[in-house]
Amino acid sequence: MIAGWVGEIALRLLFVLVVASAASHVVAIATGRGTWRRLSRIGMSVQFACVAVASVCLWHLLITTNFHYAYVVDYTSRGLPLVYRIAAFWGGDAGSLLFWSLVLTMYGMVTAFSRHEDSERMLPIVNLIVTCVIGFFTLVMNVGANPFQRLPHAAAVGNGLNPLLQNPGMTVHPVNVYLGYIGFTIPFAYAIAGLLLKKTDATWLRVTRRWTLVSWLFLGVGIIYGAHWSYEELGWGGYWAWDPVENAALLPWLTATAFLHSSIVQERKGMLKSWNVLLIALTYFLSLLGTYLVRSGVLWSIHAFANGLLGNYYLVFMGVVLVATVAIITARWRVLRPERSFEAVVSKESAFMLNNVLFLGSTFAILWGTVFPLVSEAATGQTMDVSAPYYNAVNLPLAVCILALMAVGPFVAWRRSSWSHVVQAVWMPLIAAVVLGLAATEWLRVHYSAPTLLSTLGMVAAAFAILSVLWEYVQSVRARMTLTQEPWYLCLARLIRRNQRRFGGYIVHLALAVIALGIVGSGAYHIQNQQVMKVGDTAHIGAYTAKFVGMGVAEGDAGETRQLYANLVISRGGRTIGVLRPAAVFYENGDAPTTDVALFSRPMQDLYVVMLGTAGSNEAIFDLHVNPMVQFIWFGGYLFIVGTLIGLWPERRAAERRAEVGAETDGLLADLADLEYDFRMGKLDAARYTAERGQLEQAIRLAEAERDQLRLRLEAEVAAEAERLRAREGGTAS
Amino acid sequence: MNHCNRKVHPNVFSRVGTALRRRRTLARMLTAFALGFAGWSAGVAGSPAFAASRAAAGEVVSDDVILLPSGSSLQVAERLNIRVPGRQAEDVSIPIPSGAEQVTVTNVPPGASSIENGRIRLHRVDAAGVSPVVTFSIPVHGQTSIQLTLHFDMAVDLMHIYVPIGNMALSAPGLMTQTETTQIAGTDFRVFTHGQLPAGSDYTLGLSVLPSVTQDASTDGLPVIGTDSQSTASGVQAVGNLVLAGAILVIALLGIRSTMARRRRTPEGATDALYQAWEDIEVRFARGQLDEVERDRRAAAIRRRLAEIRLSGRGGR
Repeated sequence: MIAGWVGEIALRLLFVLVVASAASHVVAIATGRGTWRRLSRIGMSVQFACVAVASVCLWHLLITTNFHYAYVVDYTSRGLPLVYRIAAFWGGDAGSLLFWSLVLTMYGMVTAFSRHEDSERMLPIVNLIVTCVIGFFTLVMNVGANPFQRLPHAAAVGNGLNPLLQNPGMTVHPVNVYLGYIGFTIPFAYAIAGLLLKKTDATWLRVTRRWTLVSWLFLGVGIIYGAHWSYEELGWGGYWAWDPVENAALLPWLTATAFLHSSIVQERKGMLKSWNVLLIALTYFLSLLGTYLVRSGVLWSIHAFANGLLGNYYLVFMGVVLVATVAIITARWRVLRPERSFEAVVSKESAFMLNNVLFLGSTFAILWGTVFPLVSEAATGQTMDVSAPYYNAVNLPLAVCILALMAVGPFVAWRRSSWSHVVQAVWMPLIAAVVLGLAATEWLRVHYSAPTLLSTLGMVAAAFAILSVLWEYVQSVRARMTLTQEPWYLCLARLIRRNQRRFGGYIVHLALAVIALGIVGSGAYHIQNQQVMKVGDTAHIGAYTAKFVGMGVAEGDAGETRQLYANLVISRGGRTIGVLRPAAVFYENGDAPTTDVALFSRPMQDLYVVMLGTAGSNEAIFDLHVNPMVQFIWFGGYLFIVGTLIGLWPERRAAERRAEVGAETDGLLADLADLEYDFRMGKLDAARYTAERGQLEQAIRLAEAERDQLRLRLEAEVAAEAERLRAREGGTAS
Repeated sequence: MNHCNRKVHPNVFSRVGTALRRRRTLARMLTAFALGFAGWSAGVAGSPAFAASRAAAGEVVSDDVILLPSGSSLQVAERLNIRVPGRQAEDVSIPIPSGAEQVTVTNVPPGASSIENGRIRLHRVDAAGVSPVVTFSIPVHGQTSIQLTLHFDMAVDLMHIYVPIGNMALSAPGLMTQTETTQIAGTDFRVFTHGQLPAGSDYTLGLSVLPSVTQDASTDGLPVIGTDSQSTASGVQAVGNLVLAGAILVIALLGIRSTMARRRRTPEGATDALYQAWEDIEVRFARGQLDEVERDRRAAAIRRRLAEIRLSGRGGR
């Protein structure tokens, strides 16, 4: 019982602390004094401590099924397994708000105690923005959705967690999506802080690159877990239905992907400044929109597990964020001018820009389809839904283009390249990809179903992306082996260690191409057979044979469910493999029955069986699917984690401070390094290399000379100022 | 990409199972329902956001449907809250579901309702509204699942469906995922909620009896292959994925910390940082990104600080 009281007090206290912290941040910004900056940091830590205490209390109530509390009654029951009682923390509105606050305060604390270039000026503003966001959640928890709301007397039974949420995938999917959504607060706050300070260099990008990367990783993994849950739990044979909530998670992931690429261009070339600010603001706003769609109930979705009462709070908050962000960006638009412009149509910078255009095209197509029911209802009074064919028609061709660009991009040189050089660099992996892609398509046609032009192109593009990554790795290792005479494995390890970002990114490309193969294989070549079977009947699907041999009923662990299952003896090529058990689960608490999919997974294909219903005691309707290559999606997900973790892995050297002048020189030096790399990788010929190297070296000498001159002038001014001060001190003393 | 309809609810299950569990007397239930409904329904009412007003001739502001299996029939009690916006009182009619028997209407003044041609007619309903309680039964002929289709001439703003907790399962489209529980006359009910239904729509409910436990069906000694979401392997995978999420978070935070400056700045470092900040200002001023007043203000502050460091002899310059 005491846990409930402590939790409630912690939440009330948090409200007070948030107000006090916001005040300390404002004073720190206004005065710039170290004492207030320290207080500002401490404020962030105390907020986290408060939310952590409240979270532990809620977990305690859920695990011990304390039915004195409404939230516990709503989302647990006595028979609910422990892992789902833990997951009930984020299963409902009030708990998810607390979870959101827990993660955000933790992120806020880590940020507050960071030290980086210009952190004295930037951090108080970042802290203030993060605190304002925490303040919103604290307000809602204290006013509209208190997880510690006490009942007049203890309830006899709990409602239990929604049966659809009682799936292993659901324990981890919301956690990852939230970690992703919440993480984008930090780069957004830094971008706004930079704008307010008129600081338009790439400091905020350097500081927040890992925040963006980890948020993007969590959101991506969350999307994949969600798809896996949909595949296992919903029983329709697929994993992605372009549901509004699925789309809502995908939208910020797409814009964040675009941002991760365009931020490289700003960091290295000082270009796309305004574009990057817009992209991160859009990503953050879409994260809020995703939360709103899940929690408001404004659009019906199988993924929306909320009662819709919080929608108005989110709407107001989103409105405030939108207006404030637009106002700040508009006011500072003038200072967001790029330092350089594009030098050639065919260049890595242009490739990144094209990548952004494709991702944003896909984003706006999905956004339009997602909000169209609301728009149509507002305009005509009738709700018109947009179905999967629209999304597929727009997004699948774009996805093929993105895959092709993903394959070509690494072979394009920075600053200036040409079509002939690109073709020269990619022809080998391209031809291999065409051969492999067509061979795979033919194999799939023979074993499953007829291909379409788009699926064939998708297969070739995915193969091209995979081969280009492998080619890039091989070329890089060979180049290093030539230079260092080290064995290949040492070269590979050191290459990755020395350039985690580039080589981690290539593994992410590889993962996404593998996922694309899975989508193409399972989407275009899947086969289905829906059949009414009596005991003794046999169904055929692909290479499999399923014989219906009988049914049974089993009781769930706590006696709260009954599982009605069918036994299907599965054989392949005349060899009996075993028994598959598709089932239907009935709930004593009156909830609608759900299906339990029977899944026989192999690396190249899944046999997926659902029992749709029974007729009499010896007859049932079965829905059988064979999904080729669907496992590639899940394997690709783990590869995606590996690639991103390489990019995130702690580095030995801290980020260095670079002033604009230094940054200019650094940029030119980076250009020189890129030129060397591109030349060694065969992306440039010797004549171009020599000419550009000469130009760059000249530019570096000039920039250094300008910097030295400037420094001399400044030192002279300091010397004069010191003389003035000394003279004044002498005068005062006499 | 696969695309298809959503969750398949096995509402056609009609496996031979145990008979319906006996409930408390139906008469007691329905009396409690008819007379005391308004009081307790307030406690389980859904969001007022759904109770939007409508300018049509008549509307069902709320419809509460209690389903109660009883031996060879399904007893249904339906409390409708109907009103006719506007000044004129009008007659409204409610279609009686197909197959319904023993139809009664209560909670209306004597003579205010009649039953004719498969419809219940309510006379002179006005803006103040009327809340009739309609009861009827649907015969069950040995099957263990039954479907009931309600037709609505008028739009419905909010519908609650009450299903006794125990051996019954409800299947119906478009229900909100969040449910509530309540007790009526000693019986626990689960309350499902549906949002708006347009005028002229049909709404079909399916009610199934839970199957009774049997012996394990024969598999001729063959192993059970494959996994389902309830298997131990899936549970382990879930825990593993949570641990993985935690590990990613730890690595990410360590990675973030690794890029931060680790040591307090030395006096030399502080001087250099001030010079670099000043250089920033000068370059931005030269590019037109900073106005002259701002540049002078910030440059003066840095110049003074550098001079002070120089005088104190700590700056190394």
